[in-house]
Amino acid sequence: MSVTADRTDTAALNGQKGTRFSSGFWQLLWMIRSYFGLMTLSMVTGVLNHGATIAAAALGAYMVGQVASGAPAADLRGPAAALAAAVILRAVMAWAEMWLSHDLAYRILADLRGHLYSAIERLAPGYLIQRRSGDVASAAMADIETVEWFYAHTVGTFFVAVLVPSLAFVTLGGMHWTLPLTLLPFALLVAGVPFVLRRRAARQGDALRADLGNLNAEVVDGVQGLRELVSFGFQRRFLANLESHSNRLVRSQLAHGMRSGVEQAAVAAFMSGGMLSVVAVAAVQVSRGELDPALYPVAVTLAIFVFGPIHAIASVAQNLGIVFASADRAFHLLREPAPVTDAPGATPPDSDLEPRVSFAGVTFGYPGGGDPALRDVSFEIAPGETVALVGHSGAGKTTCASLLMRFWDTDAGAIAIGGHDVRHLPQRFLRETIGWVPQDIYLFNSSLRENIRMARPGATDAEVENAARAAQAHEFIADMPGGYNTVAGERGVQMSGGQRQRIAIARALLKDSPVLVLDEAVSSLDARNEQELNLALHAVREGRATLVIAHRLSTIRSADRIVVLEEGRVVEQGTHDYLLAHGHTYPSLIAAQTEAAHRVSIG
Amino acid sequence: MMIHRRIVALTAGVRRLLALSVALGLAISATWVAQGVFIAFVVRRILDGGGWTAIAGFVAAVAGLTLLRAALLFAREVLAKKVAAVVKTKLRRRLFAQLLLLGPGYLEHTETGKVQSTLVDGVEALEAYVGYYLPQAVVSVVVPIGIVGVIVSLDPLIGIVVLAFALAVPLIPRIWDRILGEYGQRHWAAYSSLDARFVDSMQGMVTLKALNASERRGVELRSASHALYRATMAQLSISMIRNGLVGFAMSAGVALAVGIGSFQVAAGELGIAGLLIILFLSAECFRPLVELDVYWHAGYMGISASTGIFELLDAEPGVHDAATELAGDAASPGGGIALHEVTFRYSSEARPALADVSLEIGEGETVAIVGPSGAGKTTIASLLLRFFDPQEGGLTFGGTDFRDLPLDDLRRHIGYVSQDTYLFYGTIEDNLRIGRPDATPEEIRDAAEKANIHAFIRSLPGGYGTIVGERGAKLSGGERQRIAIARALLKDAPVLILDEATSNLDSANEAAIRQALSLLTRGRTTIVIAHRLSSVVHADRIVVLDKGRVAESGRHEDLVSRDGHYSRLVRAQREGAA
Repeated sequence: MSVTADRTDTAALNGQKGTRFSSGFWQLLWMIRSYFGLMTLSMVTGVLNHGATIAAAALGAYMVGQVASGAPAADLRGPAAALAAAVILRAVMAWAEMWLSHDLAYRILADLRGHLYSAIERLAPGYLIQRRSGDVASAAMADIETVEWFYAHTVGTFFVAVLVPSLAFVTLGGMHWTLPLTLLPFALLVAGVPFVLRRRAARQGDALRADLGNLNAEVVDGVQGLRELVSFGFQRRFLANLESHSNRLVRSQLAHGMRSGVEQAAVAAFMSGGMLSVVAVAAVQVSRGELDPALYPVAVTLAIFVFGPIHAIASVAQNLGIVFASADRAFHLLREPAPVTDAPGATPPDSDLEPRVSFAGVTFGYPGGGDPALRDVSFEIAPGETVALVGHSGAGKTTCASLLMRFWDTDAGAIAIGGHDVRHLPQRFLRETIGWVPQDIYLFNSSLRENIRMARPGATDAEVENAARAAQAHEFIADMPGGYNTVAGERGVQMSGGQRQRIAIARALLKDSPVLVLDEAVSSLDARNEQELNLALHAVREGRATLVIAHRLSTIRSADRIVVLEEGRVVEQGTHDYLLAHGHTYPSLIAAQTEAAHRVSIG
Repeated sequence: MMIHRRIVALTAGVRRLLALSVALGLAISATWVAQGVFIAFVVRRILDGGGWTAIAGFVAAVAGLTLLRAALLFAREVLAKKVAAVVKTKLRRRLFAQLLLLGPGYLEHTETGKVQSTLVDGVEALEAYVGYYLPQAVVSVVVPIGIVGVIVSLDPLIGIVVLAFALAVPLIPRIWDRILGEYGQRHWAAYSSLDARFVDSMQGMVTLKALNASERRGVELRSASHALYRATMAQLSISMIRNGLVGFAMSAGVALAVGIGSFQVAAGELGIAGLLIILFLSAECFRPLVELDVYWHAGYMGISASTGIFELLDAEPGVHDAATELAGDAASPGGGIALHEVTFRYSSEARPALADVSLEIGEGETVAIVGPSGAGKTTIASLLLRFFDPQEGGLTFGGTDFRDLPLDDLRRHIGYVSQDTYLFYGTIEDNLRIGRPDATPEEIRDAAEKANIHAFIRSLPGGYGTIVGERGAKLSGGERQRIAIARALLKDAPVLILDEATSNLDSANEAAIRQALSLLTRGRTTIVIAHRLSSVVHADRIVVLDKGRVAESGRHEDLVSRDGHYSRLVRAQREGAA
């Protein structure tokens, strides 16, 4: 399946037709449509498989009936040959059915994973911040595994369960018209049990998935916070907590088991009841001379085997609650609307963008979260200029960077680059335009070279190393046992904060974008590295607009201009010297550091 | 061959329930066998020209069996869940306890995603194996043997044919899998690695987006996903031939039994009654085997997952807990901490992170460790918390070797504020309380005030009850760090490690916290790891590390006048600030 087709699917699923796909079931069915041919083939093989199985049993019973009625051995050759053919057909079809249904399932699975990735891509970072990423991962991966079950073992089974018994009913009807009528109510009962319990099954499925998701998130929390658990001696309490989550899951599973036990018991009882009533009714017809006694074993055998496929749907349906709950969660994620979308017809500007950033009257509040983070913020960064954003923690500095990256849209006011409102630029283009070194740096579980190269996929090894050199990262990378091929541990646990920062800076330098955003990019560096890095950054500032978020005086001072934020508002801006002389907030903000520097220098 | 011994060993403690489960399975099979025999009698009487009355008794008996079986099926299902639940809960606890024992050092070499999926999905995957497959394995040995015994007594040849095909049903898949060997394993390995890549990418999505790499990564993952699909299909087309063979064995077994029987009857070598019993019983011979196959399929995931489970259980902790309670004074160690000629490597092939480092920190002394990134500062903190043991040399606390101290005792005496603070999902108060579980709200508030975070917490909509997002995502670096400092204040341990504890704070906060910290460090043995020299000026002693070795040590005043590493660091910092 091509990538374009993938996109259309996602678009269809995300369309405004939400009500049309209101339940997991319809959405699962909707996914099948691109595989109609494969689906049909898998159903045909299924019908042949189960049909041949029943035919073999009936043919055996027929032979017994013939023998019992005193037929000579020569008369058995025809049925014996048919029996052999049925056995072989069954063997081939058993293989074909399994293979084709799994083929279908895995193909759809591969697509679903792709859709889920696109959904998360669309929703990040807002959605990921609002939810625990362990939860999202569990929804994305485990739910999808469960959905496989639907395609490989449910849809085809359903079709077979209707068609094959119908054929058996017709055969029984050919023997005597009362036989299918006797069997029908039991067939309906067997098929109906899961539907009676469906609502409860769905509820239990929901609860089960939710409990599993919570347990998963708890485990992720424990694994990632292992250092804290161990150093605070919090092990026992954490284990108790884990156990209570585990027990909650067990309770859900036991409730689920009770219901499925009732289902199994009822289904088994109805199956035997159906067989038994055919035994009785056929006996009556034989004694009234309406049914050939030689066919009696065939009737009884058909009455036993006809429930095979129907039973299969019943046992399949037991788990439908879980499947639909999983599908519902997965599709819910797929439908979740993006916090920001490209404006219709947004195109990159014809000429190169002038690296000039302007915030004009920007007001913004995080979704669902109290007071606005920014109020009426206006400032500008001219081409070639470096502006430092300073202020206390929580003053809104990082929010400015996130809005410039357009992770969210402003509530009021506008942000523009080179005179173009960021909302009118394609997101792809916007992110190409901005190089960003975030506060919380994520290193992927691949080599350091690949981690840096991510910023520009076509970069040569030499270019990667040059960027690393400029970011003061080359030396420590070269010192690692695998050099640039060293695989970054998950979330970069093996690297210090300063090393991670330098990798992120190398990424930004390699990306070579006209706008550069450094969010506390050098906060974890020692003085010597910071100084060298500042020099390197200074060299690349030429012709760029650079926004620096910083606490450190040394970094702040390297900026051309300083914008001071307080509680989401710009309270003053100007050069360091100007603000020191005329500002109110700025001098107190940096007072502690000027004293400290003084202390160090006088010793 | 078909029973995984180590998984069976996990059922210790639920053996009685398992035996009950087997008994229920046997009873269920017995109802099927009895029903088959009764139906054979019924057909016999009808063919003999008997009427409704001749079979009424048998029909009533089968109806009774039906009800009995329904009750047994319900009981078995509930019991299966119960057995699985007990095993899973115990195992999960054991695994996490083991992980805690292995400590953060273990995670340096392992992917979090892998450990996580072992602890949740891996354990869950055992349910079908333990709850259903194991009891059924016994049932499917006993029942066919009994039935074959009956058939042999009727006609030895047919008995042997049925036995041969009955054996083929469970054996074919196993033989088939053995022929395929590693082929099947590869598929599962590929699945878990794709899983890990998905999790990795989703967690790093913000970075991917910012680098404009998310679309590219999406294409990569999609193609990996499709490659996996293709590999799976290639594997399944071969491995599923066994489904065809099993289907063949089942149908052919019954068909041959009935076919041979029919010709025997026609030849007058077998009675019609015997043939009818063969007709209805030979199929019963396969019923438990079919169920076993279904459960095997469901339980197979458990066997694959068990590799990860036993890997974790078998992992050797890098540090061994002395565990024994120490008597007398040693039970509450006090006094200074010392490193004696410590050499430490993260892995055998790596460069030493610390080489021959000796360092004494007297009781109540504040020692600062400075040096460029990668000099080994944080490694010292990890050794002090005994996440690792050094390969050479040793550490002592109050003269007692670390290795002779129970880990809990050692860590209870150390407060630690790390450069990468983890906050757990839960309220801010929960996160603070980790420092001292029985702290009163006043004590918590007091610690928060000292760490200069109280006002911030109060400004949040939920106050101390505000839920912290995953990895503290909703709090800024500085806020997280102040919460970590408050935690350490609450813990009130005699030894304190501040690992770049103030690096994310802005100046105003830093000044306020430095005050709190100086209050905290008074009278405590304190190790300050820092690269901002302003926070180390007042240390009793400053140790400069360079490439894993102690380059210099002494008081600030002495070091600054020497033309060494320290004075160069000071110069660099001053130029930056000036």
